Amino acid sequence: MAMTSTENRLGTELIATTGTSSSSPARLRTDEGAWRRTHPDQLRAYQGQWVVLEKNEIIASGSDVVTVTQQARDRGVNTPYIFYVEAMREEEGEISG
Amino acid sequence: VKTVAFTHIFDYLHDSQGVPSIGLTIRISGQPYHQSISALDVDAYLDTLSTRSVFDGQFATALGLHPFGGTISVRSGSHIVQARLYQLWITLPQFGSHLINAAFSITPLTRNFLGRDFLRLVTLAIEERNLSILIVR
Repeated sequence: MAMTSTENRLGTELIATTGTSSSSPARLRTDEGAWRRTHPDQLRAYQGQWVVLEKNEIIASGSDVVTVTQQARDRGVNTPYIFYVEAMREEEGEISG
Repeated sequence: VKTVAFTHIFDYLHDSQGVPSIGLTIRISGQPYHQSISALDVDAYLDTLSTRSVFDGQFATALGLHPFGGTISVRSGSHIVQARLYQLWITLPQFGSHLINAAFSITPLTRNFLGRDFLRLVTLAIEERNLSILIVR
């Protein structure tokens, strides 16, 4: 399935575009994504909270994005990777009867 | 037949239970990204039903953004939420920074969504069997 972006029927949402920044990393948060895939058990303790993950360490957490972001910046992380740890869902299964 | 040569592959996002979902980690900021400005890396899920990208309103505060216009109703996943519009730069390192008029919710959201305004910037394909997203600009 390919979704092209060549049609412009949505008004004027795109305002400007710049070139790729040479200071940007090659890919965003590859290490953190791998850690999340392999450490769901460690994230369970943070259910219902916003978490800042830097490499393989949770450096800030809490219910308020602004506070958590500031905690991360106070620890020297200028661009925090922040995400919400959702509550555990029940396993999908058959409904008997 | 239309042939598309995709240049980049991204893994699906995995939530806190390790469940894969179709989304990307993106960088958001009030200015084109460079290392000295305030920016955040956030997860955002692709929502082909939404015309506009929607983010938790707390991110606008954390980034020091200022809204324009009044309150609007926008689709956020399966819900309609009240939101305000902000000019927001979205950065994927391979594709540069793009300025959109994004919606930031007035009430808390736990997931951000990339709508069709984002899909206008790229061509992408979903490879479910490999849990990957293929993209070319």
